[in-house]
Amino acid sequence: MDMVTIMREKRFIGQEFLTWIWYKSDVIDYIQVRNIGTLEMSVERRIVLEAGSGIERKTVSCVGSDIDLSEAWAALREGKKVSQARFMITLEGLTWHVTINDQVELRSVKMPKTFDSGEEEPESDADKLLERIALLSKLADIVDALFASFINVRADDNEWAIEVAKMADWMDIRCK
Amino acid sequence: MKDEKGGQMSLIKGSINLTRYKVIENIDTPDIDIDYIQKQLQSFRFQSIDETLDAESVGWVETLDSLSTEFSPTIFNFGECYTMGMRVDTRNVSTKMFKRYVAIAIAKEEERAGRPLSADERGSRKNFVYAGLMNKAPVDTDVFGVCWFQKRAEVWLAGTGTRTRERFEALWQKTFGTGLLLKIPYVSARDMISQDGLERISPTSFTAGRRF
Repeated sequence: MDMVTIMREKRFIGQEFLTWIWYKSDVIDYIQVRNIGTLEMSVERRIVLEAGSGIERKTVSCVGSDIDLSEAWAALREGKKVSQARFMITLEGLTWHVTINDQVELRSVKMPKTFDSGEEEPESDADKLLERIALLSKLADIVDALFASFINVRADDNEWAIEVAKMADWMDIRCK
Repeated sequence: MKDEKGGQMSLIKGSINLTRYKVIENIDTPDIDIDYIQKQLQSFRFQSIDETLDAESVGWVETLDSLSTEFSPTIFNFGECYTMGMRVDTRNVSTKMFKRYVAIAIAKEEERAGRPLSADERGSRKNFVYAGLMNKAPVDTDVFGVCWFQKRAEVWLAGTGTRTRERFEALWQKTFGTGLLLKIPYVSARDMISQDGLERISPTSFTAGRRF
C-alpha cells in the first residue's frame, strides 16, 4: 500500500485513538502513563467527530471557550468518531494546550509557562529555542506513550472488547 | 520575515504546528558526522531569487538567522538535536493579470505591424510579458523550522500543509539522500505491535448492540 492509501484506509486507527483519549480523560482524573508519569488531561475548546468518507463524510464540530459537549455526545451515539480535538495536558506542573488530529499531528501547540511572573525568562534566542525544543519533545513523548498504551490494548482482542464495553457504558451515562 | 504558517519563528515564540517524520534509513553512522551535515547544509543552502526571474527557491538557512547560511556547528547542533530552517521564497504572477497584459501587448504589436501575429510571435510576446511581470512581482518569504534527532531517527518540521511537506521532503532527500516517512498512527503502530496484529485491526463500532 502506498502512503496515501494507508493514510486514507487506516485513518480509523487515529480516530479510535482520539475517541479513546477523550473517554480516558473524561472518566479518569489522573491518567498513569508508562515511562511518563501521571497526567491530567481534558478536552477544551474544540472537538470534531466524523463518520464516513468522501462525499458520504458527515462531521460535527463543537467549538468555543465554554464548550458544550452535548452535540459531541450525540454524534458519538450516532457512531461518529473523534477526528480532531484540542486537549489540555498537565504533567509535573507543566501544562500544554494542543490540537491533535487523526494523523496524530500536533497543531497549534501552546507551550507551558516555565517561569512565574517576576522570574527571569531565558534571555537569548538560542536559550529559548533549546527550552522550547525540550518542551516540545516532552509533549511528543507524552503523545507517543499514550498512543503506545492505546495500540497495545487495541491489538489485543480480549482487552479491546473489555475496553469497548466500558466505553459503551460511558456513552450510556453521558448520553442520558 | 513572515511567520503566519508556523515557520522558523514559531520554534522560538508563539504556537507551533508540527509534522513529525521517521528517517527511513537511520543515517546515524560514523561516516555521517557533524562535518558531513555541515557540508550538506552548505551545499543545499538557500539561494536568493531577488536578482533572477525564478518563481521559487527552496534551501537551508540557519535557525536563528534566516539570512545566514554559514552553518557553523555551534549554530545548528544543540545536544542531540540539529536545527535548521527551510526557507521558501516564491514570486507569483496571477493568471488574470498575465492574460490582461498579454492581450494588451499583442493588440499593440498587431496595430504596429498592421497584421495578425503568427503563433511564434504570440509566444514570443507572452514570454516577454511574463518576464516583465515576474521582474516586478514581490518575493514572498516563509521559513520553517526543522529539528533532526539523529539518534532517534526522527525529524520535525514546524509547519503543515501538503505543499510545504512536499518541498521539505524533496529538500531533505536531495540533501541527505534518505527518505522520510510521515509519523502517522499506522507507521508508529508498526514499531509497537506485530505486522500481523496490525493488519488484523479493523474499524470498531462503539455503538454496536446498544440502544440509546
